[in-house]
Amino acid sequence: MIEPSTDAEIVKAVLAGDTGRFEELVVRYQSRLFGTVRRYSRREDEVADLVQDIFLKAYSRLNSWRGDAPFEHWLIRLATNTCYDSLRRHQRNLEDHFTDLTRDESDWLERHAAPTGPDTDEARAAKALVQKIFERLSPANRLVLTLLELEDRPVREIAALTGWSESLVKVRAFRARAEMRRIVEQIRRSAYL
Amino acid sequence: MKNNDPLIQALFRAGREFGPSGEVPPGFERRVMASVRAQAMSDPFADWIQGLWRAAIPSVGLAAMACLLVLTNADWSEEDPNPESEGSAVAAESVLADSIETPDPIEVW
Repeated sequence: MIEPSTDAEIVKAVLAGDTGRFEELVVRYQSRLFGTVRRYSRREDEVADLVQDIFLKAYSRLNSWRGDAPFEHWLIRLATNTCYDSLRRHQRNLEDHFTDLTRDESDWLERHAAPTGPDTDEARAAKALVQKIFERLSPANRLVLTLLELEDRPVREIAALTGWSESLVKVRAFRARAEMRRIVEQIRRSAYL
Repeated sequence: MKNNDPLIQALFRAGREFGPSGEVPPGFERRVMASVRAQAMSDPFADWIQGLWRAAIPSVGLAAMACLLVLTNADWSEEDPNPESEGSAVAAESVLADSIETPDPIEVW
């Protein structure tokens, strides 16, 4: 059985002019990137465009990957920055009201209990609610909470991914939680109106 | 500093447990490769344009410095645009005039 090529071997071949081999990297990492990008966008067409954009950037900057860190880390850093830029471009109006919560989302918010399984209506409601709340956060706050709380990454790694200092990550996380608390309070208030 | 609000913690937990799927639309890799090939085809022009852009900033900087240098060294007074060179011309003229023997006016009459 033929051993699959390593990332470094594929990158070397692509840089030598064998463009077609880039497809191996796309197939290898596309699922990972779709999972990452869906944290920042709900619209499927936008998700696919962003993932494509990340791969195109990766291709054009392939010679900047030095190989001292895993290719996947380099790619995720590229993805994080691309998603952050996209969030900043599409920053939504934070003054929106929360009248678009479904019944299930409102019920979950009332109980704020952990759902029992991933396929239940409750689980779907919780997931949608988290996404709606995160959409109201400012781009920097959304990014830091996604990386820290949802993806469970350590501060040091977030600093490496974003290019921010570790103390800036901590400050932004503190502010982000405060903003999230404000948003949840707004939702609670509007739910009782 | 972690947040102790149970609701916020429950939201984070829900977000972690029910994260997004990594499902890929069918044929996505072909779509990406088509864009990659299109980009590879246009690469020579892209490199050339990128090179021009990179050169533009230092060029503008150099031009600005050259302008600044000319402006600071220029003397804008109208009467004496280049006193040193004119002075030397006048001196040369007078030396030349002295060297020419002028005839005595009485002798001429």
